[in-house]
Amino acid sequence: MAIVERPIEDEGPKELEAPPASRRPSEGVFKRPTNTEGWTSWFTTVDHKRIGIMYGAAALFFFVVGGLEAGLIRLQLARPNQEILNEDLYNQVFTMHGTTMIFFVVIPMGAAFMNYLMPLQVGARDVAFPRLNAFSFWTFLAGGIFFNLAWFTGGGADCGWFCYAPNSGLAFSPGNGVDYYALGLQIAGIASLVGAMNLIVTVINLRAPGMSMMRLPVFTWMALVVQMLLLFAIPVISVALFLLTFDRLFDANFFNVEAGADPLLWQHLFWIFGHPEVYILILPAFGIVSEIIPVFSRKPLFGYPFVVFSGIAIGFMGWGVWAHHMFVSGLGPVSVAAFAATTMFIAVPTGVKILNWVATMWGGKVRFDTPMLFSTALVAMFTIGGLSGVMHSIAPSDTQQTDTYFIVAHFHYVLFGGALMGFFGGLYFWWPKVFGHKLDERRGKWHFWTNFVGFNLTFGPMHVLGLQGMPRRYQTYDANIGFEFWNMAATIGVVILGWSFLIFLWNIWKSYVGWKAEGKPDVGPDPWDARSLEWTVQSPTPHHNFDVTPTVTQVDDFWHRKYAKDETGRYRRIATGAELAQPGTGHPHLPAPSYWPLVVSVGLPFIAAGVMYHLGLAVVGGILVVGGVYGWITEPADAEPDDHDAPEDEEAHVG
Amino acid sequence: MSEITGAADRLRSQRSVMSDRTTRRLLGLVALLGLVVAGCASDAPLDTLEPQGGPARSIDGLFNAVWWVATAVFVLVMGAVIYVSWKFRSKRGADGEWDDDEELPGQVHGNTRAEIGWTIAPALILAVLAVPTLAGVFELANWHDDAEVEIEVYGAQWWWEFRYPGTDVVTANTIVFPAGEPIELTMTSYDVIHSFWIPALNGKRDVAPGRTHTWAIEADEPGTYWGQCVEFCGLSHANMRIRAIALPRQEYEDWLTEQQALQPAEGPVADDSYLETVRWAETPLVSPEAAQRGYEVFGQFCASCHVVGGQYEAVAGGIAPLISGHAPDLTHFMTRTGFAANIYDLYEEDGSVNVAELRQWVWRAPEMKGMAPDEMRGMPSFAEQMTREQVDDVVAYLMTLGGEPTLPSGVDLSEADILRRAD
Amino acid sequence: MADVTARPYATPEDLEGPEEHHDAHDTATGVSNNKLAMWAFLGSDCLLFGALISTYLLLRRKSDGVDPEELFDIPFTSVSAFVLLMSSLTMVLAVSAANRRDGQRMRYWLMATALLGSIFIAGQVYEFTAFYNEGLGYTTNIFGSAFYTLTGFHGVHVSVGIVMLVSLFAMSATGRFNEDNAETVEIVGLYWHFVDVVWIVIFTIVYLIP
Repeated sequence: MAIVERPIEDEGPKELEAPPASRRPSEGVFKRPTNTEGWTSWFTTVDHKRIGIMYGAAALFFFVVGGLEAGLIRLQLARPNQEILNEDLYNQVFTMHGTTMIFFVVIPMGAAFMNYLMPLQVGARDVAFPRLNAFSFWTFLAGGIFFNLAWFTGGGADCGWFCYAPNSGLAFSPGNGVDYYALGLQIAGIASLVGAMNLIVTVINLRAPGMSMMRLPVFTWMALVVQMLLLFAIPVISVALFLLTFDRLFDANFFNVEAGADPLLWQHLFWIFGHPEVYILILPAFGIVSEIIPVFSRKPLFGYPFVVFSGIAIGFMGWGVWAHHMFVSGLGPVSVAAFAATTMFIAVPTGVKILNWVATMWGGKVRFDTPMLFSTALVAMFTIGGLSGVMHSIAPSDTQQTDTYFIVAHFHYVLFGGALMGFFGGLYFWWPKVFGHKLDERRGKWHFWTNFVGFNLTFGPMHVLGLQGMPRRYQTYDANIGFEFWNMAATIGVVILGWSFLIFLWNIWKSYVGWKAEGKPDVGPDPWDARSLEWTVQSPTPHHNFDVTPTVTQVDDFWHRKYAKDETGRYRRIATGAELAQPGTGHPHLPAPSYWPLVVSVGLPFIAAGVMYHLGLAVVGGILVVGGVYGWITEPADAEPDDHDAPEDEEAHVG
Repeated sequence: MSEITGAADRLRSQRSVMSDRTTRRLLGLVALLGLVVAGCASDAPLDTLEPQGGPARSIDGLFNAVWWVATAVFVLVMGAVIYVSWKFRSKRGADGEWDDDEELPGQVHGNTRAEIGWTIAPALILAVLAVPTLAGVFELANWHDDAEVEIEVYGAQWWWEFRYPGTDVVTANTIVFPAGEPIELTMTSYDVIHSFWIPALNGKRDVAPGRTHTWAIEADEPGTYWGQCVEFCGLSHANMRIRAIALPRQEYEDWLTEQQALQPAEGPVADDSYLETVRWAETPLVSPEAAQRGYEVFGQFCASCHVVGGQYEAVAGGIAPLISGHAPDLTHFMTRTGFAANIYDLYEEDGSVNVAELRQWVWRAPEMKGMAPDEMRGMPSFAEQMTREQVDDVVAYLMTLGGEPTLPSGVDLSEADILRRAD
Repeated sequence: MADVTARPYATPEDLEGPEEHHDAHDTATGVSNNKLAMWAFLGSDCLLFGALISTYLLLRRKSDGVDPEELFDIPFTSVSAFVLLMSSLTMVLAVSAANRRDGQRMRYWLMATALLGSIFIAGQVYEFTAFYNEGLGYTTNIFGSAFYTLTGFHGVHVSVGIVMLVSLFAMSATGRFNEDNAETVEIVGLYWHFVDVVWIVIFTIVYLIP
């Protein structure tokens, strides 16, 4: 925990809002790195945009890993009584699949969008603590790699992604897989927690003049809610993981039933985190479609304050429903009844969002470019996931459905049909802003339709399988009990999904090659005729974001500068985005890159490995962390003055 | 895919007699997938939509209600999405680009009345659903209040044990109970969390170590039902089935009496009438002498974990060298219909004993079902310790334990054994 | 067309003009980033201790063996709790001195705070040792695991606080830290008070409530 306590000392006032220059020499041992070009600069960058891109790339990498694991699961279940994976391997594969997808794909993909877009959308030049931001990314990556290292050191975790005690205990899972799980998630948790503090401060404190809270783009609002949820949920899972680690490695007794422990302790801790986690996963996608749908419908978002407040309401209500994951765990009927009721009513704010999106499209002139296709699919598919969710809130009915494939179908409709559809839409939407060129539309539509069909063919049948009584986490099933047909259908679906993802990668590659062959034509700052501040800077976004801090006077300020009412009261275009955008020629003073976040992050998995294997490794990790933190604190707050073109009076500050 | 064409044929021929359930499932599929394929197998013994007892029917009623509400909402929302996507779509100009000169649509920012409407409407619907839901929660929690029969359920890696309080009766993986009345289940686990689920008779309930949960099952009619473990419990989670046998009350009482008889202390009994019943005499490897030899071999290798009431009781009381401390009680082994937690059938459809797989199981159990004997979880392989002949003898001995398989009168093995591991 | 003129986001004058200047409090809320981040962290930490305390409450009655009530030396722990409480007072004095730009006194009170914190930690080490010698190890029973984990996490928090205090002292003493950064002292103070309050809760729940 020491890591997250650092900011008080080590994060002095940042360059962006530096205190009056205090004439002191810089104190560090080493010069700060200054390189912002070339591949090595990615390791030291503190630029929120590059960090966002790295989050996205890492999430896509882990998506491939988790996707391959999903493919193995479907392969094994394609036909009854197969032995492609034995029980042991199968249990590892589905555990690693679920954990990877949730913690190392959907969370970082959300973080990618939030890192890249939130500062731009609030009109800031970077996040509040750029080095901490880099630290968050590297720590997340360290956690993800560490977690997956289990594959090479005796096998992955085999306890299911929620890893119920006592099955996760040493007696029942004697390998190191569960240790990798607990420590890997712990490391990733540090990343999320530090990121949450950073982004919360950014959105609250770094808003441009006039950007009041109720003028924030909805994506930024949802991101803020997500970060608040992370801020409060992560410590709970941290405690649960600590207890598990202490039990397994230091013989503590937290889940030792022999000694009188109650196995439900883990479930409560896990789900108190786990349910807010569900909203952590889905709200970024809600924010993304709330940006995309108005742009492509060419109308403002219907009921902005209601969409915002329903997001906040979800954020609050999400804390009061965790035990609906435990309807069959053996809680008393009073608890079950109470949590059933709260769960039913959390559907209300979600429904409000769905209807507002439909109402936004209503009466619009909807341009079905690829981002819009994905967004519309999210509205439809999430509705299915939401409705099956309501079914689960009927607690007695849930006792038939929970732990069957009906649940598997439900959460894939929510996480794939919801979160991932939103992310894909977001990638197509913001791609030109990030990389300077659009992704090809024709291939994009191929990607969308194969994705849509494959998704429904994979997860739709799971509803039927669940109602027919097929339990989840079954390595195989018998013939002649009604499971064969739909299992085969789901496996065919996953093959289509695999192809769909290849089309996406192909599209990325071909779009880039085509753009390059055409001499990299400028896509312009505002290729979609959009509404928020990130479109008022050039594409790709200049290193310093804004030449001048923008001043905002209303929601969708950019759009209202492009369009105004004519005599008849109708909106007419008065300017193009390109005319209004900032030229990107400024040279504001920016935070310098730093080695130290990477050093500290690299130390963490060493400590974790040391706890498991040999104290020596922990010592190495400890040296890296302590040394890194020391270097961080005493590092020159900035590169040497002649390394950048800041005005002379900008002296180094404590940083 | 002969299933597809077959399913289509079935659909045509069965349309007139299609049950409400089938329609419902079909509707869901049509809605979810846009596929008009009937995949509903008639032989789905774990189907959650075919309740055959009070608690399950009560749940099914709730499910029906919420299903129709959800379907209605689904149709409305999906209809709206498709409608606006079609009606309000923008068109591309001749150059393939969106026509930028077209007029902007009306810039509607919202409508408070609509917002309040679609906040309150779902809340009201949910409030209406909440009433039977909460009632249902308490109804199910109290279902066993008037139960006359209580059965203790124990989960273990990876099998089930059932004990009948007030008697010494212990069974493994087969729960026998009287039909037509609520049964109180008192459940706990010997090791990790499992979950007890017989879909036709009630929803599931976790079976957790260190905790005692009460739950009920009830079957309207005598018959056989399938259940299985549904809380992930490690390696062989998928191989942990429950055979539930509901008997008429009198047959149940008879069964209970029969189960209380212990095996004779001096060794196996195999008289001619018994040979006739189980048809084991047809298999050449077994004989009364073999059974007697098997009895001794059992004492050497198997009795360190398994209990046979009257003969081997050294580890009764949970002191078997396993993490759970228990292995299946084999006192009336042959009265069950399956072994290895019902993954394998004990009898062939013609009533003869499934000697081939039983023999394999005794000899090399870990190859037939995922287990971790090195970690004291599950049955070890005896391939190194036992000769083939000794294995055959143990099988011959096992076949003396208990009489005919327990089934309600009128149900024969070919009907009862739907779950088959083979092929 | 209505007489509306387009307002670009960067006029040539904007671009020619001097670099925008911000100072530490030039944030949208007026609260500095560092302080806001500390508040966020403390909010998060509340949940950490909330989860640990809940765990302890759930488990403490489920143990056999050593009886905690016989083990506890309430007067001793009360004194050490009092010491920690007093350290909050010295911390307030340090912050006050920093705000008055009185570096000398600030260092004096920072050191006093760190010293009191260290006495508390020493007390905890002594207490742990004593319990261990009386037969309550970390793995002895559920109570042992829960007790040492909860109080241990708090001890680590105090220790980190001491490191921060000493760092502030050292930086100030070597002139690498000056009165302009009075707020940093205040932020460390927030942390210190939080840790202090958490101990009051833990002390009450673990030691005083039977």
